[in-house]
Amino acid sequence: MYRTIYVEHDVQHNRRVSPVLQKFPLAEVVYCDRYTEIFNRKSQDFRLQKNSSALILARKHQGHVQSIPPGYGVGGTHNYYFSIMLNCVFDCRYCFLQGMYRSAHHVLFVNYEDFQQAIDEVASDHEPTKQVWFFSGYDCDSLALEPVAEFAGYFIDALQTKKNVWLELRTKSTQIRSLLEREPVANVVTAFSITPEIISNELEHGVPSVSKRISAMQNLQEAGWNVGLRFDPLIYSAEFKDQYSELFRSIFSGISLDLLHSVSIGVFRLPTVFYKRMERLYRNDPFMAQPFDTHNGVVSYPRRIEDAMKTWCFEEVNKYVHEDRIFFASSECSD
Amino acid sequence: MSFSVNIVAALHSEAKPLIEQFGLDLRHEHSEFSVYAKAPIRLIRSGIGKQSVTGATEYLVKSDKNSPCQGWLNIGIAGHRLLEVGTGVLANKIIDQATGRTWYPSPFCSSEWKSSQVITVDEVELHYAEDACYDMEAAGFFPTACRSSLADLVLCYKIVSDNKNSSVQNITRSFVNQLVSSQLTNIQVLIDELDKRVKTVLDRIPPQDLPESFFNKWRFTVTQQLMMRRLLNQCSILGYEITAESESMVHCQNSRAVIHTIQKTLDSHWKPI
Repeated sequence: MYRTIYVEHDVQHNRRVSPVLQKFPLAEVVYCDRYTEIFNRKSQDFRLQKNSSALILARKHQGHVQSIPPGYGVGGTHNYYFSIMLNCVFDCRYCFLQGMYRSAHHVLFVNYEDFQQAIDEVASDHEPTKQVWFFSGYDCDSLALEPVAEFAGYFIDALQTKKNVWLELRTKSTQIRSLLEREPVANVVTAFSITPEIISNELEHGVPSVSKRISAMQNLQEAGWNVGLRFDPLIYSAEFKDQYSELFRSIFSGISLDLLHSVSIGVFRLPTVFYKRMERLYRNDPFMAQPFDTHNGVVSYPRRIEDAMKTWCFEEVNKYVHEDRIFFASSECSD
Repeated sequence: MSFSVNIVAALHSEAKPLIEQFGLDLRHEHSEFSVYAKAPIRLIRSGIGKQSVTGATEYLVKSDKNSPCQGWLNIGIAGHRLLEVGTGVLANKIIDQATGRTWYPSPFCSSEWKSSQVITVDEVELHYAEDACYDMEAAGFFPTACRSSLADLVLCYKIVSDNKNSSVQNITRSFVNQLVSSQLTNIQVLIDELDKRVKTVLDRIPPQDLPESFFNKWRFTVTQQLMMRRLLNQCSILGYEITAESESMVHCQNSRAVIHTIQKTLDSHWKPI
């Protein structure tokens, strides 16, 4: 998959580097001082790079754990995110990462221990009776690169004894083998981000089919794992209700509601600055050409459409799931 | 005449096979470098060394300032400790030995291509200390080309001319000519890829002019022209046919009314769910 792998000199002897390189024996390995020499430089083009994305193995030096952007949580008292990876292997037309980065390469920070230490420190700042959530799928897909990164296994090991610490693995992938090979852990939620099949086919390039993701959810639940559903972003179409009704039917008839931790609902939204960058990448794209509205620095659907989509989805999901487990992602964005 | 790919070669013997292969005509003979061209390719023969190649690349940049996007390709010979003479390699890292500055050209999209670090030296390298190609131009070419272009459109392709077993003393003009000639198929692939990438980027640049029919009927401020270009582009992609003669436009008294009418048309995209 990767034809070029950049390795920071600083991590070349890290124990995770050699196994990654062994998985791509044909890749050219190029050593660098800092990943920023390659990633997100001026005059890079996200779309051109997406055709030949490289992997960059690097060290994250600071800011391992961050407060979550507005509206990202699922009911926890304290919420944080961490990103062992920057960018995503999938190619979703609406994804804000294309507006955030000029580069489409994938950066994998291999110093997991430093993330772990930061998580421990943050968690210890809070009362043990309060849930502290750590979301891993904000700047990347948590599981899409799991066979290479072996990220989930490491962090689940590290967190499973801390009963007030919760980990969300947010994904569009079906890379769940590392989870199925171990005993389920109650404070880990694998949250699947899903749109109707027709929309997924049109906008989510490289993403496994909806049926495969439902099947992955079933497999996880059968093994005793909690799963979450993220109808975020909701994507408008003239057939919105038909498409989402069908999606909800397929999902809720296929999974167990007992091991469904939470459902979150949020409409497509982007910080204006990201939207403008993406608009330049996709001048001829029907999705990006839609006449979106801008409110408080956020580009999204007109309020009447946004509200109707959210309200209708809430009511539909509520037919299957108790409202205590349904959360709205805020329409605000962070940039 | 529009050129999408600029080739920079130091030596006449590197340039000659390319000039012949692509049927390039001499366009300009400068005291220091010569320019050959035939759309979509321009080629400049720069002379040897970092400074010469920097000057030649800058010259090409300045001579076609109107072009919004072009690809750049440096082709030349290089020494390498191990690689067989005649091997073609793309630079994946360029180091200026004199200054220590480093650049990383974007990966190419096919795994069949060999790539290598390229160290640009000021004097001919005879010891090949590193596992790298040694040339005399890449560190001048790459940053200069990147200043006028997307970095993803700048490539360096080196052909190994000497190694531990084949001395630099064996290099003659006809030998260099032969080395480059043997790589013409690969060079064509690189040119085609750059041309494709340039077209991808150009395709995203919106048309700069509004249809004349709008100008003939209404007066638009510069800001309104920008807005109109965006709105008409949205209409065209979403399948709303809007012209100055459209029924909805007939009663528009001024430019503001025109913009409002188009926005209203676009807003009909949102059907109640």
